[in-house]
Amino acid sequence: MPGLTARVSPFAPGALAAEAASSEALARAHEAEAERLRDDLSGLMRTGVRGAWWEAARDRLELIPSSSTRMALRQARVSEILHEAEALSALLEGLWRRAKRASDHSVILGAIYRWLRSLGDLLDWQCARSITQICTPIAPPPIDTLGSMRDLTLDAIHERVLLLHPELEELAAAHPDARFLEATPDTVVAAFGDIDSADSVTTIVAGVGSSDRAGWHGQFERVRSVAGATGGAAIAWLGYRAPDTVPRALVTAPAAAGARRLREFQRDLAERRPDQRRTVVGYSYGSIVAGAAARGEGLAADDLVFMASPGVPARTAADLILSPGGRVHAITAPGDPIGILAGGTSGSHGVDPTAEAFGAKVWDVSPGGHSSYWEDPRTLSALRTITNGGRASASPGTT
Amino acid sequence: MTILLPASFRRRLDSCQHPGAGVDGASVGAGLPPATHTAAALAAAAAQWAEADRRHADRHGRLIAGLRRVAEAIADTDAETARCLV
Repeated sequence: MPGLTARVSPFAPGALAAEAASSEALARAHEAEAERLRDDLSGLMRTGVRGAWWEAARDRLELIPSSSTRMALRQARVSEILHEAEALSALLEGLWRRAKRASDHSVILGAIYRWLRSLGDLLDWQCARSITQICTPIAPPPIDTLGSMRDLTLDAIHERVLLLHPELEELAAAHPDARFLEATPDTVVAAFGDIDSADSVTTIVAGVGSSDRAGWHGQFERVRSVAGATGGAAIAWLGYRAPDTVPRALVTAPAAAGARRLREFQRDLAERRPDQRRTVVGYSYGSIVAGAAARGEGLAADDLVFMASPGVPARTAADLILSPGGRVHAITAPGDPIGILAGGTSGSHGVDPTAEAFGAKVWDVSPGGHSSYWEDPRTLSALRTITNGGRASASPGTT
Repeated sequence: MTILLPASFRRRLDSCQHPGAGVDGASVGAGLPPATHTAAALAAAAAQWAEADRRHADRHGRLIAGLRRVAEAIADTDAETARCLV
């Protein structure tokens, strides 16, 4: 429970307005400077000098007041942003005061404080970003990745994703323990558990049909069960446009595009908490995505699990590049028809990772269908062992 | 042909004001908590503005000085030589 004197905005009242005034003063000074230079120039023009030498010099002199004016415009815009931020900061503090008056329930008040505080952090971050955007000639990268928001808390990232994608609010309300990390109109990445404090984090790469919003509730339930089983954080990585049917899954382009995004995401995750144990579970078509991500530059993961895989794009586990000491695992339930597609060393998407020649650590799980893994205690137990550092046989390359 | 530079041009050049906004922007952002992103962004912006001011002053100063040199030379030389000076 926060103290009654706690603030939700990082800025003291009036501090941003004072900075806005300083920026305004600079803008006025530069505009006055531009005006003086224009006067100087027009004075020289009136002296009646003509000639190529003067024309050349005059052209260059005319550029100088323009640069002062451009600077004045930037400073005026920065001032506007600071004024807007001051107003929003005051609004947050006002909401916090009202919450304190309206509730004496410490749990509710604590939750409101945490939410408003994350909005305060977000306000600071966004304000800084807007200023940098105005003052830096090179535009900052788009804010659509975990890495581009590395300075923000998990709660602030969640709020920012929801502000940008209000269509996700219903999903967020249905899963209040989810923290959204990335989103586009047809993809979403959400964490269950605190990825900043957990010892391990498991990224579940979903398969065919996972871009269908109607199925996202079910995907979240699966990932929540993995977080509970492993005792760490787990991430629903629905961050690529997955094929919507099994026949379309024969196309590999979505896997290639997804692999690039997954590789970037795992790299961003590793930068956020370098010492954390990271596991990637590629489920069904997601195993092709995860396998492709571990080729080339490699994948920032200590363990890579191919679950219910129709085949992976590698000859052996040793062809895959993971974090130093990384291991490759394979899980396919007896009775899962995906085994027919995988087909040993000549499956529809590559090599069956449970084939002995592939060299992955193969885990025995309960018999079941293609969707039975998430409730199977043996599968969840295997994931717990893997994410806690249980070692297997293969020795892939290292990033 | 000899070009006689009007005396008003020389006088006007000499009266050109020294450039520079004359406002110290170095303290921009100093009134905010130093750990905030906004304070860091404003400090970076202030450093860029100061650098732009310095470049601006240099550029203006060099042009005015160059014009003075040309004006001095052109007062008693011919047009062809004057063109070569710029």
